[in-house]
Amino acid sequence: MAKSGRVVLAGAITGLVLVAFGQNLQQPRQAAASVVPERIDIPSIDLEAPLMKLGVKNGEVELPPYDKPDTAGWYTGSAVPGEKGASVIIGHVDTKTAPAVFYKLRQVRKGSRIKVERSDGKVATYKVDAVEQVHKDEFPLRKVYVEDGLKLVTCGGVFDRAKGEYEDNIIVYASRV
Amino acid sequence: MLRVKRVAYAGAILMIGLMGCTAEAQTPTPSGSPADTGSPAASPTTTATATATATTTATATATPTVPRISVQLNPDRVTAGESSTVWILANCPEPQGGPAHTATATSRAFVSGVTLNPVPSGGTPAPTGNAGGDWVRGQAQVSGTVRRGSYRVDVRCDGTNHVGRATLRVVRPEPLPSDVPTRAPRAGGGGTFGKDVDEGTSIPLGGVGAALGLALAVGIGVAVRRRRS
Repeated sequence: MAKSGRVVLAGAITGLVLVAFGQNLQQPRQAAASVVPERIDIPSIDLEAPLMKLGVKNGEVELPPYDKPDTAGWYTGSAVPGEKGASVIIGHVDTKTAPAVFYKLRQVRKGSRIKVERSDGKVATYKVDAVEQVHKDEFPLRKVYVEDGLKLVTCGGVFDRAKGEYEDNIIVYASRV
Repeated sequence: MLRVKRVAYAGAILMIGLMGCTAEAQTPTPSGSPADTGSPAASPTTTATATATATTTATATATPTVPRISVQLNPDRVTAGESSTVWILANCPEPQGGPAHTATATSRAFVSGVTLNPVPSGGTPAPTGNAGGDWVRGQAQVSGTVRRGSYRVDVRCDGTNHVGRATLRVVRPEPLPSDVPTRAPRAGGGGTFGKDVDEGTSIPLGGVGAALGLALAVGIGVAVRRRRS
């Protein structure tokens, strides 16, 4: 009886170890793959908007459709807000007729808070470090798409009617708090 | 009894094998560096991002005369041609009584020397790795005119005269990763351009406009009356 008892015990311990380590290995990967940001909130300019996913096409990030002017988008090739890396959220400043989701983005000031709600229930909080207006020919690709932190991007400056687009971008840089 | 022993051995071998496997899977470098004697069980929580958080720990060569402390830079490499900000973290012990818990960091790459102050709990960046003990930190500016190369960063703890050093690398700009978008977003249709109706400023301007209009009306009224009388 003692023999079989020990055998059973050894088996049980082995099983437990397997279960424990197996879970450890699997969990983080699953979480990282499926979490997406769902809402953005900037209390200082009364902005609260849902987020959609934006892919990339011919080197250009897709934009939310004009028939959803109050929706901003998270570039799926960037980090999930709250994680390390560059997180990029883009929204229209206006449609062809009316203000859109990031109309007031240029009024954001250094030190303002930005909150991003994620699908896993976590809220990533950021503090604005800088607001910048740059010409599209000098768009800081590295600062926006590579360097750590949350970047909010919209358009601004002069509207070029011939090209049908604004000449500048407004970029908000924020770091996690 | 022989059978029990065999089972026990088999179990032990299996366990060791399992532990070995998982250790490999979790940490790319299972054996800690020989300098890390503090807590060998420190859990590698940020293994996935280990390459991204580039920090160097100064090699703590044990010289008996001058107590050496660990110094970390975050980031430990900056791009030549653009100005950057670098955090310096130093493992300065808190002095007993009297002197303030501060340190001074100097480097030829820095615009000026920097005072390091105690790291607030939960503040970022925090020292990485085996981060026991007391830490101080500060931010240094690196000018865009600093040439490529390796620069020594020296830290001296003000109260205790502990010293430590780390190396800052100023490197050529890396080419952008190939998957980075190449165009600026075209995020606007132009519907509000030229209509300049910023919500933030429209209300005060409206108030001023109304007041001006009222003043003008009153002025005209007075003028008209004077003329008639």
